[in-house]
Amino acid sequence: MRAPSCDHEIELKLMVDPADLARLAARLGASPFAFSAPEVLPLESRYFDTPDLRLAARRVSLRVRRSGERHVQTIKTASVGGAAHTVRGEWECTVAAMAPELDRIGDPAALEALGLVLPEELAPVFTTRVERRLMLVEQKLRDGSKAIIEVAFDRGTIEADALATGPGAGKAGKKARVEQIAEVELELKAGAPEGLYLLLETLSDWATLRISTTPKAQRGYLLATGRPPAWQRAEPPALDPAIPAGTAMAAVLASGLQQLLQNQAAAQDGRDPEGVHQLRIGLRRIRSGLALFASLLPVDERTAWDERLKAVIAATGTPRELDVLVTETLAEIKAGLPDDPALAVLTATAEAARRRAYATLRTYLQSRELAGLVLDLALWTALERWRDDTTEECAAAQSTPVIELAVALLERRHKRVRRRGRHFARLGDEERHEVRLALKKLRYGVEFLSGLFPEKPAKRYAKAAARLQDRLGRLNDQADTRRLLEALAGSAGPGTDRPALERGIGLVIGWQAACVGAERRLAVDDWHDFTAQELFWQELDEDR
Amino acid sequence: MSLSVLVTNTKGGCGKTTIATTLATAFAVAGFKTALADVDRQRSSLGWLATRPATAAPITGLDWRKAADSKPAGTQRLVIDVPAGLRLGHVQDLLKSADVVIVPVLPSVFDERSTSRFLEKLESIKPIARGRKRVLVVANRLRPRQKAAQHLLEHLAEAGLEPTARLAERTLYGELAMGGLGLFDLDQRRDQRRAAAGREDWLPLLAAIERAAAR
Repeated sequence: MRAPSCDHEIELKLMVDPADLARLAARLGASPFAFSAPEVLPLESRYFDTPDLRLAARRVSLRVRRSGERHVQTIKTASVGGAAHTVRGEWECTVAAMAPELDRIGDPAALEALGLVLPEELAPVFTTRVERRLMLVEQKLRDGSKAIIEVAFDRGTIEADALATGPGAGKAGKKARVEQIAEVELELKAGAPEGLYLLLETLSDWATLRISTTPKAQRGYLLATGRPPAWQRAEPPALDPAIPAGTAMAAVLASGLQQLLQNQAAAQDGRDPEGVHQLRIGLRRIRSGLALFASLLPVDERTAWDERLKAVIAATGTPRELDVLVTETLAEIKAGLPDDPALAVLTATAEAARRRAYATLRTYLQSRELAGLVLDLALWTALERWRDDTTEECAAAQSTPVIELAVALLERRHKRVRRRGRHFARLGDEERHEVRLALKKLRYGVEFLSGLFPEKPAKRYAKAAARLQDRLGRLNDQADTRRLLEALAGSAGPGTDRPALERGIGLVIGWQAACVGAERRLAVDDWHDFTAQELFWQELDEDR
Repeated sequence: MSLSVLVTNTKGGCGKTTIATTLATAFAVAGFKTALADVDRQRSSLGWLATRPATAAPITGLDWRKAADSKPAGTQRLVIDVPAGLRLGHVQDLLKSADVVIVPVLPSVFDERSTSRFLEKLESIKPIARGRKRVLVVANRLRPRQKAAQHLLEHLAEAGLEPTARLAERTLYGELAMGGLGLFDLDQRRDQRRAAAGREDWLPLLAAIERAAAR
C-alpha cells in the first residue's frame, strides 16, 4: 500500500443507515481508540464549475467550505490507485468568502488538474450542508506502530443549484433536487492505510456499513445535471515480476473490488446498461482472480469465497441478459425489420421484464448480502488475511515470485485451449462450448498477468484471444437467448397480444439461427489466427 | 502533462501572432508555466516577447525557426506560432507536437477560399482525420454590421466549420502588443471595462482548448 504524502487524501467512505449514525459516533467516542473529544461542526460546501462542466469532465472538484467564520477552498482529483479506499490529490487554502479564488492556487500540479479556468466562468453547481461529528482515533497497527485517523460522521443534504446547461438538465429540474447524506469518512492522517481497514473491522461489528467510492461531489453533479452516473472500466493491476504471488493476488482482487465499487452507482441508476455490465465484470474478475491463484489458498477458503461470489453474480444476471436482448439483439433485428408489429410487442414485453429485473436489482444492491461480501473481501484483501490459518504448501506458493507462477499458468491454460480445440472446424456445439470455457479462463490469466511481459506480443495475443472468445460467445448466446425468450413468454402480462409475442420470439430465433453458419465459419478463421500467435510468456524465458 | 496549441494559416496577416500571444498571456497569467515557440522567420512572436515587461507573468520564448526543438522541463502550456507560406509537410511535422490546431480566418472572400483549401488539406492529415487532434476555426477581426463578416460566418457554416470563437476587431490588441502585453495582462479590477469586453470574446476558444485537453 502507498504511503501517504502531504497533498494526498487517503480515505475510506462508508454509507450508514441514518439511525445508526449517532449511535456509531457515540460508541466510537466512548471507546479507548478515540483520543480527542468529538467536535460538532456545521459545514457548508459549495461546488463550482464552468458552464461546460469542464472540471467534472476532468474529474476534478473545486469547492469552498464554510466552517464558522473560516472559508477553505479545496481542489480534489479523482482517485488514483486505492482499492476500497480512495487516494485523491487534494489542495487546500483559506479564502475570504464563499467564492473561489483561483489566484491562490500555487502548486503547478493543482493548476494542471483544473486546467485553465477564468474566474468569470465559475458558477455554483451544488451545495452540501452537513453536521459533522469529528474525532481523532489512534489505531494500533499489527507491527506495533500507530495510525492516526480522522473520523467524520456526516449527516445532512446535497442540494443542486440552478443549472441552465447540459443535456438532461430540464429533466432534472422536475425531479427532487435534494438528497440525504448519512456517511462516515475515515481519513488517514498518519501511518499506513492498513489502519483504515483495522478500524473498519471494528466499526463493522457495530453497524451495517456499505463501502462507497462515490465522493459527495460526484453525487452532487448527478443531482445537478440529471445525467446517469458514469461507469468505469477496470484498471489492470500493475504487477512487478519480482513480487510474491500473494501480493499479486491481492492486487488483482483489489482491482476487481474497485471495479465493482466504482460501478455500483451506475448499476443502481440503471439508465446505462454498462453499469450492471461493468459491475458484473468486476465480480467475475474477483472470482477468476481467486481461481487463477487457487494454489495459494486452502480449498475450503477458496470454495467459501467462490460460493458467495457465485450467488451475487447469479443475482445480478437477469438485468444483464435483458439489457443484451433489448439493446443488442432486438436492436439489431429491428434495423432490418423497422416497423414489425410482432417485434414491437416482444420489445415491450422485454422492456417490462427489464424494469422488473432492475427493481429487484436495486433492492439487491442495497442488501446486506452484497454489502457484507464487499466488506469482507475488502478486509480480507487489504489486511492480507489470506496469510492467516493457511497450510504450509499455500504459504510457500504465496511467497513464490509471481513471474514463475505466471509462466506456468499461462502455459497450462494455453495448452488446455489448444487441446480442446483440436480439429476446430469439425467440433460440435458441446465441444466448442468447452473450448470457450477454457478460453475464458485463459483470457483472465492473460488480462491479469500480461503486464509482467513485453507489451507488444502480449497485446497481439490478447487481442486474438478476445476476438475468438467474442465469436464463440455469440455462438453460445443463442442457446441463452432462447431460454430467456421462453421465460419472457411465460412472464408476459394478461393484456399481451400472445400471437404477436410468439411470432416476435420466432423472428429472433430464426434470425439468430440464420447467423450461425456465417459465425461458425468466422470462428474457424479466428481460431487459426489465435493459434498463429506468438506465445508471449515464452519470449521472456529466452531473453533471460 | 503539457498541452500544446498550434496557431496557423497558409495566408499571412490573419492575426495569427495576436492570437498566439494573447493565448500565451491567458495561460501565463493563470499561473501556468508557459512557453511561446516561434517558427516565423520574421520572429514576430519572439519580438513581442522581447518587449514584455519583467513585471508581467513570465513566458519563455523558444526559437523554433530551424527545428522544432525541445521545450523547457515542466512546461504546462505551449503555444506555437506557425507562419504563412510554410510547406504543409513542415506543418505536419509541427503537428506532431500539438494537441489543438487553431486556424484564424478573416472576413474577406479571398481569405476564405485559401483557408478552406488549407483546412481541407489539414483534415487529410491522419491524426486530425481520426479525430485525435481538434481543429478550431476562429473568425478574426470582425466588425459590427460588416457585410464581409456576415458573409464569412455564412460561408463557414455552409462548410460545416462553425467558428469556435468570434473575435471582434479592437485597437486594444495593437496598443497592448506594443508594450509586450496581451489582453489577459490587463488588471481586471483597474481596467475592468476594457478587459471584460475582450475576455468575453476569448472564453469559447479557451474553453474549447481546455476541453480538447480533457479528452
